[in-house]
Amino acid sequence: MTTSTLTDSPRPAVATAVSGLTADAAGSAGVACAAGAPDAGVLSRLGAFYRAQSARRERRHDLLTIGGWSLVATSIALYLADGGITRFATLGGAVTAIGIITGLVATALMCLMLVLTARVPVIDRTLGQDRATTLHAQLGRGMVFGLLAHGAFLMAGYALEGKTTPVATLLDLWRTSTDFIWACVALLMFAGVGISSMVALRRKYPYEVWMGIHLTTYAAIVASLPHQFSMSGLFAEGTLARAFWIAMFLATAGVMLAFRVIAPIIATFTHRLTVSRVVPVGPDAVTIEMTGRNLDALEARGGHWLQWRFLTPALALQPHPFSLSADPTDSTLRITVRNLGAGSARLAALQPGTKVAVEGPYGMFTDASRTRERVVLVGAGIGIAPVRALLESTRFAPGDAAVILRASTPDELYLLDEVRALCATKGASLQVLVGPRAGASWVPRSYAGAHLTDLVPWATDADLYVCGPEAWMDAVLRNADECGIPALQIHDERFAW
Amino acid sequence: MTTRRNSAALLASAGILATGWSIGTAHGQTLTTTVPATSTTSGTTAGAASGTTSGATTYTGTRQSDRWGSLQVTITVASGKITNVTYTTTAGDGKSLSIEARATPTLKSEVLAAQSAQVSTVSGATYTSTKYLTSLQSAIDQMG
Amino acid sequence: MTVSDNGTRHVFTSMGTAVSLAFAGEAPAGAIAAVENVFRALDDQFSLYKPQSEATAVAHGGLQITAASRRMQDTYALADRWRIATADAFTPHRPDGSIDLSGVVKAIAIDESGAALRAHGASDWCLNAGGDVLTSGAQADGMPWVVGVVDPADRGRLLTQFTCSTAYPAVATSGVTERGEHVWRQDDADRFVQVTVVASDIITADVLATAILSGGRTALDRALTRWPLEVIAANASGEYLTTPAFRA
Repeated sequence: MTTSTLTDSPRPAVATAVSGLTADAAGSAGVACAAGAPDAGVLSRLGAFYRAQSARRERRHDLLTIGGWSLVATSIALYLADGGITRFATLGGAVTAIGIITGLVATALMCLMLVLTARVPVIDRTLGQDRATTLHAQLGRGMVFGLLAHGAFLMAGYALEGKTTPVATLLDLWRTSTDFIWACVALLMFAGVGISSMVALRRKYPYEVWMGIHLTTYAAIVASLPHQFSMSGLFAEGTLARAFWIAMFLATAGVMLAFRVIAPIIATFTHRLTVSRVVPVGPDAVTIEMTGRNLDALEARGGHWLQWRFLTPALALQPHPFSLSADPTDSTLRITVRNLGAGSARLAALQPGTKVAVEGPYGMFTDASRTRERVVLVGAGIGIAPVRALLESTRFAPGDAAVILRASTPDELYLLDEVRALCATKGASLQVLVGPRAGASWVPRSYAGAHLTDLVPWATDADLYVCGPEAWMDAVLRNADECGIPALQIHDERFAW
Repeated sequence: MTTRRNSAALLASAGILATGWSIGTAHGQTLTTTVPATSTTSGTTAGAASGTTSGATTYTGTRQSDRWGSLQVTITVASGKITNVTYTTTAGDGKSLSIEARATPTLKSEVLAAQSAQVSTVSGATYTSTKYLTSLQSAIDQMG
Repeated sequence: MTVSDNGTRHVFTSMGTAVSLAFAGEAPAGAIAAVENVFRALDDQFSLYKPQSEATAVAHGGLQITAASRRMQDTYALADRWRIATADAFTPHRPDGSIDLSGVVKAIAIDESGAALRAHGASDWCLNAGGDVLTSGAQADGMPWVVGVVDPADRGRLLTQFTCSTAYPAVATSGVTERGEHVWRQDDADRFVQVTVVASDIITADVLATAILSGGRTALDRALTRWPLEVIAANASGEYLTTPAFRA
């Protein structure tokens, strides 16, 4: 029995350390290692492949970043070129021009925000949905502040130009322009949405409240449209700005329609997913197995998550984001779910034969974000499910993968048997850490003081995948940073597990 | 990586902004997609010559926007005389329209003069029946 | 009534102003009486200067518009549609909220008089009610009717003229001086003192002249994008905005 928990060997071929549990898989893992001695050719080929994949992803990221910034810059540049620059000659004109520019920037940010949450495949494959959502929230803050500045600067600018007060300008516009009233309503709605999103994080809200906030956003967009046509000159005929903004608006709407509405409908009707089995895998978790047609076309891989809508009266209206817990086949998909909320609880009672609507796959917790030939997979609690699926699907030479599972109690080591079997077959080391966490550290008390590189010495030259409870993940990432693992090699799934 | 990416984006944005800035200052000109790009005459400070057709030069003014909407004037000049004025406006019911020779500022001397001999009736702000007696309309009515 | 080589002219008083009716030739029998009847009936019902009129009862709140006569309701509906079409630049309401339909009643009277004249077989005539003009056909000498426009700076002079046609038979002028501020104003920034609108019918011409006088440049631009019009508008500093028909 090999128990090399804190090894100083630079690169143990296979280190299966199971602490607090029996480690009967160690032997077979050793066999797998012996059978597949590291092949230099395979090693370098896999390494080169993942490095190239990472470089492509980086290039996409570069282009998306430059493209996003450029769109914002273009919206300003078109205004400046279209005579906006001449307004800076007077104080009132300058203040007005700043008001117009903040409005343009806010509008451009709004388009980018919507595209970021439209689940566009290229964005998902480059940023990952969780980072896209984080960016969406950041741009949202910028947009709300931009809109507030837009209103304030314009009222001040008009007042300076008209030799009156901002309040008088506002009242005057309010009295004379219905479009302006709608614009004010839109601004208040945007501010409301922005504030409620900033104050509390997504998770704290019930799904219905979150839905209501987003419907308000759409209402606010609609309410802001009339003044964009009648007052802003954005759509003045014969200008490049008109072509630019029409293209921006149509592209945003088109992308949202295509990827949020049409694609999921097509996927649901094509694949005809049906629940085939619901199996308990612990005191409060179930594995849901589904069958469907032509699932290869989904291009789902282990580590992906999808939006699931189980078509029963109680669940149909609530999409649930869950990660796959096994690499899919052409006819089967599998998720493993822990009872976290009322909706999740009802999932345990699902009957075989229930139809399932599906949207996805999403996420970068997959083989597609690999950058190195070696990989470290770290999972805790129900976060073990996507780790297990990724372990199954990602490629590595025997000995080049390390799996670390953590739980407070042995009961919460979901799918442990499956993970152990996969490690044995593919030649990955397995370390299981059980027990209450040692303070703010991610390891149990019995390992207090241990770093990632103590558990996996070559972690700095490997991809690190982390999935588990939020606070614990933060602890792992902090430690990864302390160990000097480059940010590019770290992949975490926060959106769903 | 992130720094390199962001500086590239920043650089690209700065370039785009500088382009818009220089076009705006150099010409005070409107980017117009409808006007032919064959610019000939040098622009004035107020506007820029955008195209020529059969000896006539069109000048497109800077887009003026205020809280009521935006307005842009295109003036066609032939042999030193203004022959046509076109407005592009977004004011009004939200539709942006090109209005051929719509209401333009006109000096009183340029207003079509009345030929008293031809005039058969007079339109004016509503007058009271007492004031009618001293009105032009009354004079015309009395002439028969 | 005066009859001369230039045709027939008849002047009568109604709605607090003078109405001049000119025919290119002889007035057909009963035509003048029909026009007078149209004006009298509408004035009786809609005058706010007559204490017993239905309009007075409505304006003072004694009669709900919903309980008023069909004709009153139809007129209110017409005026309110124009309020919507002009984005509130024209309105059948006074600032205090009471209903005032005098802005459309005179134009309706001219319009209905035109129908009555045609019904009596008259084809060449010119009807001027308090400065709002509707024409039909031509003058006695076969020349089209020419409408002079009063100079807002000097009411004894003409500023310009418009030659009527089948497409543009109606000319209406709204101004601020004659009856004081008889039009409720929206903003002071770009105020016109006199607005003349030529349109295909007198109600459009009259309502839009009022709307542009009240709503300023915005209302003018809006009107020009929606209706085929010729317009000359004068502001307080003696500057003019004109459509081509009014330019030399």
